[in-house]
Amino acid sequence: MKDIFKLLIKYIFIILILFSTIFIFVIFYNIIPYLRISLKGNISIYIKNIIYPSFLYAIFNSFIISLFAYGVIILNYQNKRKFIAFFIPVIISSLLIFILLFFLKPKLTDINFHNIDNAKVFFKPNIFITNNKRKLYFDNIEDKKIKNVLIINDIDVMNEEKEEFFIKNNKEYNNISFYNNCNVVFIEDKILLEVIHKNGKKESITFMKESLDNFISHYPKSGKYFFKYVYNIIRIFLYFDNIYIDLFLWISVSFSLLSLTQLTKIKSNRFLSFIYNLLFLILFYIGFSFIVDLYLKISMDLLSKIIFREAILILVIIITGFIFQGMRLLFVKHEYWEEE
Amino acid sequence: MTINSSLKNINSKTHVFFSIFFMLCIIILLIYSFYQFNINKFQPKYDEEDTFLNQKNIENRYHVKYQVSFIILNTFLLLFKNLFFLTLLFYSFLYSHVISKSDLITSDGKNIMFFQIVTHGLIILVFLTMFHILSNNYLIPNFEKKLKLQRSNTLETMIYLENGNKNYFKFDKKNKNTIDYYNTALTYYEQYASIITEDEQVNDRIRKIKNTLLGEAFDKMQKSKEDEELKNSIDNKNIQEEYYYSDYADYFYQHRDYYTALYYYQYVAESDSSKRKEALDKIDKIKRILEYENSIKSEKDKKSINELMDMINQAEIQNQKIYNQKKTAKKLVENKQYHEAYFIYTDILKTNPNLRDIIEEKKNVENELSKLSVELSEVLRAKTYPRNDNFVFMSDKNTIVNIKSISRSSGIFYLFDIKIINFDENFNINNIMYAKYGKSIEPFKITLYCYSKNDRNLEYKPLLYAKGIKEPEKISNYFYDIPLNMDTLYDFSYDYEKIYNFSVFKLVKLRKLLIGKPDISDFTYGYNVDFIETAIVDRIAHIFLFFSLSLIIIGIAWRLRTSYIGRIPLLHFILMLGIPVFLFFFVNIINIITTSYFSMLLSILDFFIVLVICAVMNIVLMVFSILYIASCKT
Repeated sequence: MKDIFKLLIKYIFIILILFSTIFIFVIFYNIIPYLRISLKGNISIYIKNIIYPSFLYAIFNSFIISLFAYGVIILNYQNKRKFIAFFIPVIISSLLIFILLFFLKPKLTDINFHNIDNAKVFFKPNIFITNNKRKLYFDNIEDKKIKNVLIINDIDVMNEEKEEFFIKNNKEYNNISFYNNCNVVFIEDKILLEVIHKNGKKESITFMKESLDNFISHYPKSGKYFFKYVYNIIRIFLYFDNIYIDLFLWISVSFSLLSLTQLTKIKSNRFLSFIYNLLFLILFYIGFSFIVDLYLKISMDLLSKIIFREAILILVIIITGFIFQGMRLLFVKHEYWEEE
Repeated sequence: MTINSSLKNINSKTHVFFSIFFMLCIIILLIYSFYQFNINKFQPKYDEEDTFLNQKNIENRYHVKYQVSFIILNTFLLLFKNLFFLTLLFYSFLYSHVISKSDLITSDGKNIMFFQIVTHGLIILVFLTMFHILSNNYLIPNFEKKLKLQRSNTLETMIYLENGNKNYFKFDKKNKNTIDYYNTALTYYEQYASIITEDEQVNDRIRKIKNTLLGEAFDKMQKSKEDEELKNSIDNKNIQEEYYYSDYADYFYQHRDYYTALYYYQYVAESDSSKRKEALDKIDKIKRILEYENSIKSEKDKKSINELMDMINQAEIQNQKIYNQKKTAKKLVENKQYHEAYFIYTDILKTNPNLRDIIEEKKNVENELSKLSVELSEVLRAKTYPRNDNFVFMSDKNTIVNIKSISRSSGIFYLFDIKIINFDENFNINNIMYAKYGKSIEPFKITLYCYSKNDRNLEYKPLLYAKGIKEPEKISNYFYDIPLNMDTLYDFSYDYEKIYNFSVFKLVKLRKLLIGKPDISDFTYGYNVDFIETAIVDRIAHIFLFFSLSLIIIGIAWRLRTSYIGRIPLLHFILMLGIPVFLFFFVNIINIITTSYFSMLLSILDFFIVLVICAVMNIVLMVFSILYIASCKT
């Protein structure tokens, strides 16, 4: 009993450390755009837009990483109660997830950082550089009107007769000047900008919030994917909009993940097993949402009338976990790696 | 083994593994570079049908002659770029696999302490960190620049060779009108040869074309040879201008070009009193000779004496006219109106192409023109060179410079469609300066004036468009000072990976030169401040990260070191491939997180505050890593 209690404390300690680190990390990252304007107004907006999504991110990510940490650092088969030691993190994390799902009832839209209620939009100089594509930059979330918008890139050719700048690219932007007081509409993660030309013609330009991000728009693709993967993992766990399906999905995933950490237990080369566990963690982040998305897409056509679509998914994940366990036993039996 | 000998053993293992590891890396990268070269090589072909410019990916080709230099440069470039990854890989193998349990057993019963084992590894780490700073700020930008030059040179050679080949095969021996093709081919081949000097085939063709042209225009060539001799003889004398003329006069008199000689004698007679008599005598002689020559001509060509005298008189009047024209041209040159002067000299040479002094003057004017302008044919040719498009930057707080494209040829930059937009504090445009063509004169200076050698009316001066004025104003000052050198402007791009082609010093300069400090809350100007500042902070953070993450990896590798008893199973060797794969992901994730964080921080905080935060964070990490490694035991 004392052993189990010790393990329990250890696991909770791991979760607390990971949760607090990730929570601070995520909240810090996402609060910055809001800090550009003073934090005035209704505080519930900030709770809804930043703190709650950050909390969800932190919970799921810290649980996933804690499973790996527990599997690598603590589970080493020196315990007499191997079975209970193995299931401690599965039970605790599932219990906490159940509490979370039951009381807070998070929805898929809640994990969205990309809500834009209103924004002051302006052009930054680098719009001039990138291949004639205009880019808007999202700055202050304050004003519903654009103060100064300058489009320089459209100046392609100068009409020397009419002392005006004309656009060459078959588009009918007539005159280049500074557009004042354009209308801006914000829909979830898009900014729609209405540009009024001097000849009275109106045009709407759409921008995604991500494309306005200074970092995302310049960083190589790998950077964009990194954020996409982290976002996608949580999306899967809240996808089904049903507490029990979400809960069972978590249980199955936590069981398989913990089995995965036990797959490499090379006594004579602990560094290798450590590296492989971290590699599995990265591969899990990259691969899991991709595979599940693929499954859901395929099953949408094949199993549309069968209500066990989710059940099959959960079963497959649990079976994968058992396969991992079996593989570990196989390795140990054939003395590829020794049992401690 | 005693403690000393086993320590010696560990140290030598460290050094030997270090050399073997990096040698192996270099060999692998050499092979990879060789493979890369084979994919991207440009093998010149010399047939008419071969077109290089339609091929895919022509901008990344390397000429075959660059093989050796490319492979060496690329190998070391890859090594320096991946130094962080390789260092982590090196330490993870060294302290987990290479230094094994058996090294710790000593015969005298003393324990080897961890710091004793790790000392030489740490010395290597300090060396590698220093090398990391050096390579990031000096070697990588330099190597990238060299490779880029090779690429653009190759593209140029492709253009020259294809055009040269096309023109070369259009020449027909029987049809003498096709000689122009040979002339064009020669210019292209010569340009090719100026880049790739050792191409036998092209050099052969140049020789062949030159021979053919020599045969076609033997006299012309001969004349120019004689001219050269004369010019040399006069240059050697180095005397006053008047003497030139008398020498020229004598020369043309000897060579029986009497009308040209007449021009010079007339000049000498008017300007040099001491030689006046002699010159007048010569003029008289020339007249008599012309009379005599006329008398012995056949009936058909013969002219009456009156006609002849008329011709001579007219020549004299013509010469007088030339003197006047020359005077006006000189005045124009003094007033720096080189363009007008250039065409006056061209006119004079149309009436008599043999006037040496005019040719000399014309050359001087051309020289002056090239200092302040660009010639149209030159700039049109530059359109085919490798180029970058869409440049906009702010040269100061109220001025935006927009350049449609810039092309580069051996260090000279040609600019197309330049607009300099000036606006007031409320962003209303005051005026716009427009120039069709431009050229870099000095690193920080461009000219906006273009003239044509062939058409006196074709002249592109910068125009100033202002509000309310219909006719654009022509600007007399052709130069424009840009706030950063052309090289940096041309190479800069908003691609985060390419930011590594700039040293921190250059980035700081870019930030300082262009932006100042953006204090306007809703409009930042210049190059994107966040982008450059992120790069600066990111680079500085990476120096710390390089050191502290290496320390942490040493610690982890040592704590989880291998404890094989007997032979290592083959499966484990295969599994070890997972280590570089993991480290590759690890390094990338670290890069992404740091860059995105600093980017975010810089969007709200001042640059120097972020620098301080960066320093503090990294020092904390370093202290943690030092404590971590200090807590390792044997």
